[in-house]
Amino acid sequence: MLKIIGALLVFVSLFAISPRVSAQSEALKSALREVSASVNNESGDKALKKVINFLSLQIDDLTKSLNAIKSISAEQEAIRQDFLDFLNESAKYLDGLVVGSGSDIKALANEINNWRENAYNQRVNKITEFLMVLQTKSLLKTADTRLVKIGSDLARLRDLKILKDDKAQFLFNESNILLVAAGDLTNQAELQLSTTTIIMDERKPGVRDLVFKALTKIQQAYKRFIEISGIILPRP
Amino acid sequence: MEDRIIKILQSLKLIKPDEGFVSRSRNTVLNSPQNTRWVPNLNFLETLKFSAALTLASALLFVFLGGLAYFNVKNASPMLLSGVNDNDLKVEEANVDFQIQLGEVTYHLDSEKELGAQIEELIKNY
Repeated sequence: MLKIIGALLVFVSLFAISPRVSAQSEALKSALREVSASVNNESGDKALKKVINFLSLQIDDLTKSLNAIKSISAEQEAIRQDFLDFLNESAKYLDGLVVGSGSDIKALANEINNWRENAYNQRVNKITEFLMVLQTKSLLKTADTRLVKIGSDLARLRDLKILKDDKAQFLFNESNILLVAAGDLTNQAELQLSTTTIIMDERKPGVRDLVFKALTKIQQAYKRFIEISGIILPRP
Repeated sequence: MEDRIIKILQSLKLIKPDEGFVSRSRNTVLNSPQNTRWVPNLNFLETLKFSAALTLASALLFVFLGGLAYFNVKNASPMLLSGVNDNDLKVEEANVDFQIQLGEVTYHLDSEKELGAQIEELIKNY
């Protein structure tokens, strides 16, 4: 019964922390499904309006995500502002498109596609990479704080001659190594953000790969934190 | 000769102490200090001090005999173990997993191709 309540609390807390994230993801997925359904089943103007709607939602989501980032450097702040300006201009461009039943659907669709391929997509890629790195840095900071707290707990228990098991210490050391590795991967990803060269060395992992590996290391560290908690705390 | 000694000895039986001497001796004997039984004379404060000392000695003895084994993790205050005892630990872990599995930000990258394909389809239809 207590486990069920605990699981429910975790589930609710997750959405309490990131309700906007989950709702926005669903809104975007729904909008893209509507585009897919509309293209072959509705008139051209309605399908095009659904395309514009999806792009508008995407711009809105990216804008909110950029504004939600806290504690960044002055250089990153300048980059963020540049991204926000671009998204603002893109929103104005989409608002200026007039789509009606008499519109040249093919021409408009071509125009939007060219705009996406020549300007929009590349900047969105950069924005998402920027967000991925900074969000991972934030998670890593939280994990490091957790590591310090757990280390303090272990030291306290050793001083009181309560902790005799070496396994907890071993797990703590492993989690420390994992977070150091995650930090290194995040730093590499952050360095790549400032790379302006378009042609990348394909042998080197991209930002997305580095961030994914860093998040995986952080996740493995948390599994060890949970295991330490299970060793130290008495079972109900 | 023997008769005379016998008469003297018989007269000695008639010797009595002086009445005054008898009275003074009796009074002297009756007024001398008497031997009494020993009784403890502890008041309340003294009792309290004794109890406190006994309690402290018992506690010290308990500690020296390994009584601290009672103070194990089961009795440790939750505030002492904020790192492992915090409910936020599970929430933080779930947050990391969320970032990896759902990848809300990475969706923007994944949707690029899908949307591009739909627009191409729209162009093809017209």
